[in-house]
Amino acid sequence: MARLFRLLEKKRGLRRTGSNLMGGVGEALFCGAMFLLGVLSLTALIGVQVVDPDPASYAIGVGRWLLILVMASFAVIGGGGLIWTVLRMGTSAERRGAMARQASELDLLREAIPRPRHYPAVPTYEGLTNSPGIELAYRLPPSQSPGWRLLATTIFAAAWNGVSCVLVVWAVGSHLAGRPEWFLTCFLAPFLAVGAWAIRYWLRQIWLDTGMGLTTVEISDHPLYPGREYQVVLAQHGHIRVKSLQLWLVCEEEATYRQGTDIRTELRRVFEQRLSHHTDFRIEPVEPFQASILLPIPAPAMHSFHAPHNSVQWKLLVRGEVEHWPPFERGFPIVVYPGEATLRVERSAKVGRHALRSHEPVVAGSAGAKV
Amino acid sequence: MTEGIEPLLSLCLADSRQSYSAGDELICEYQIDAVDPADIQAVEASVVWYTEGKGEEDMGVHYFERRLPGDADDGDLRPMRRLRTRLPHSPLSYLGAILSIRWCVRLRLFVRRGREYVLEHPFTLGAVPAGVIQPVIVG
Amino acid sequence: MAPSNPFATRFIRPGAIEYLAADGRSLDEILDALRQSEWWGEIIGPHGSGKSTLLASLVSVCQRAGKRIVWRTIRGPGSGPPGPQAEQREEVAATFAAATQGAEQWNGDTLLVLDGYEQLGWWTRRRLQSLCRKRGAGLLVTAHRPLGLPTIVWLEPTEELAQRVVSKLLPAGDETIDRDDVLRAFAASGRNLRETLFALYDVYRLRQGDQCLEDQGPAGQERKPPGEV
Repeated sequence: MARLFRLLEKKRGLRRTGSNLMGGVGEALFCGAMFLLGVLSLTALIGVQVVDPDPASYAIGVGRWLLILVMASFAVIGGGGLIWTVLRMGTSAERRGAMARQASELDLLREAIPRPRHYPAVPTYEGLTNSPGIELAYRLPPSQSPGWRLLATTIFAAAWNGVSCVLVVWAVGSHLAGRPEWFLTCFLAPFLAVGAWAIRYWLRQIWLDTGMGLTTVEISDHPLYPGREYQVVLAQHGHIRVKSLQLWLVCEEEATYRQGTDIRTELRRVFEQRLSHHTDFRIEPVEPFQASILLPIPAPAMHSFHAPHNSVQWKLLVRGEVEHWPPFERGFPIVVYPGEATLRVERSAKVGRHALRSHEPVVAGSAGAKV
Repeated sequence: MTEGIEPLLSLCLADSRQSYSAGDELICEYQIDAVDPADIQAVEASVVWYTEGKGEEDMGVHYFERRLPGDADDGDLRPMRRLRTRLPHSPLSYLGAILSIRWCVRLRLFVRRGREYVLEHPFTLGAVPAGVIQPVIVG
Repeated sequence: MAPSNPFATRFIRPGAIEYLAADGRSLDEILDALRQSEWWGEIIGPHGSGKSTLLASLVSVCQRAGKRIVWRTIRGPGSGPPGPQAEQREEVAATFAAATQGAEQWNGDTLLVLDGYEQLGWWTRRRLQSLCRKRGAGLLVTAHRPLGLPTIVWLEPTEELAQRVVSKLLPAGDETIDRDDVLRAFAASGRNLRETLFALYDVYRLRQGDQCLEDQGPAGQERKPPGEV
């Protein structure tokens, strides 16, 4: 409880004494402020020179060039630091350490992984196995990485507010010089409103992506074969009170149809099986939640399939309900190869056609069509 | 080509098989009748998979051969010909909710004046059962 | 082997299904209207009303009338990369250059067919019309709203048309889909014929699946309640 009220945190090597969220947000805000300070100052310097040129002030030895260099470095370091901070959000120190330690073994792993030469139209899985896990062999990447969304938001907010700074300096300068630019001044109002919204949205994204905590799924082997069982380790980080956390195995079909100007993509869930369900527990920053779960792939399962307009996709889905946060759903794609039960046809009898069996109650999915 | 009479394309799978396991050898015989050999410009035989459903059709060609009159002994492409190919491990035949994957042997005849005739003989690869479509009551 | 679903895209796409008119006009009558407007015209209709289907049928009729067809589908900005190019038809970007590629060969026998005309900006459309006039080429377009060309056909799907289309698609003697199914799907889709057919795909598939499960009984497969291992 006391940690909630500590405003001053300390970084100890790769760890923080307090909340990762506050630390991450603090770093981002610091870098952002540095970036804006650099941009604002540079703009003011250049703006003044444009309005009231004074070549003498830029003579060698006056120090103006040094000032420009310092302000430019503020902008570059601040902007670079902001992007770097954003990119590192959501990765734990342990993961970074494990990857660094095992980097030298990756080439050997790559040679050991069989290439999918004999499985046409089955998607490749190298992208899913190039991240080693800590508990198990592989850490699965999420299907939608929050990092890229956050990065895009950061770039937009930084760029928009950078331009806003330039315009503000220009407008203020015009008023101070006695030649007010009223059109520019009026135009600034909506421009600054968008900039403020961008900063608010950006902060909210950081809050959502880091405050909720990282969800990781590790798997004992990949690719997967029907009729076999695998180990999965689900870990949830954060400083949250969890009402419900579930891990599901799902299979979805996706079909895209283009007709003239219309593009219609439909996603249909054809199989769902709940693998685990945990309720009412608390997660602390120093002690993330972790569960080891058995993942059986149904023997008669259809393999993963990918074509330009149609696909059969398997994934592990984490569904969570957390106090004070919106419910979340995070998907981790997996690749299922054809299994023995489906590769062979019984010649002597009619081919048996039976429904997929589940170990836990199955809920049929619903159709969703985006046009 | 005699006007008014359509060419007759025949296609049959060895042992009249309809289902194959992955890695099985598919043996197919085809022949063409009721057409003047001089009217035939080309014959294509292929083993393909294609999707069918609510999306655009995708297709994959596993085996393909195209024969011109010059490829036949006496320039006659009509006599029975056998094709053999070992079937792959994927994609398996599939009957899904919004997409299906089907396999077939396809015979395409090209004759004079740009006309084409196509004959398909479907078969099943593998034994993937149809998925459950009905909602299940969760107790 | 399970039969094909008659509502799969391969059976309902433009060109695969013949055009059926809601207003009873034949293709030849529509061709006459186009000829009378000196081969300039637009086909108007909401999404899924059959514009592209009519276009596909009308193009063959125009070819028989001696026209050389240049057929382009305008691709909107968010529509991603082009799909496989269909016979005769080419997908192009929404730019003047893309729409008028090869224009130096256009003449009085040419009929430029543009599906998705409103994807082009106002100025691009003016330039294109000017070029067609200069070359003497005809211009036949589809759009969701009038764009200043003579309106040849204004498509408005009706329930009766939906019933006729479904009757054409279903194999003879197939009673999997009845009239009430069509009416329900048509109403639920907001009178969008294409979405009606997609909805009927699901209904047909569901009933086909039911039949499949019934057929399994005597095959020796023990039938257990769904969800029970």
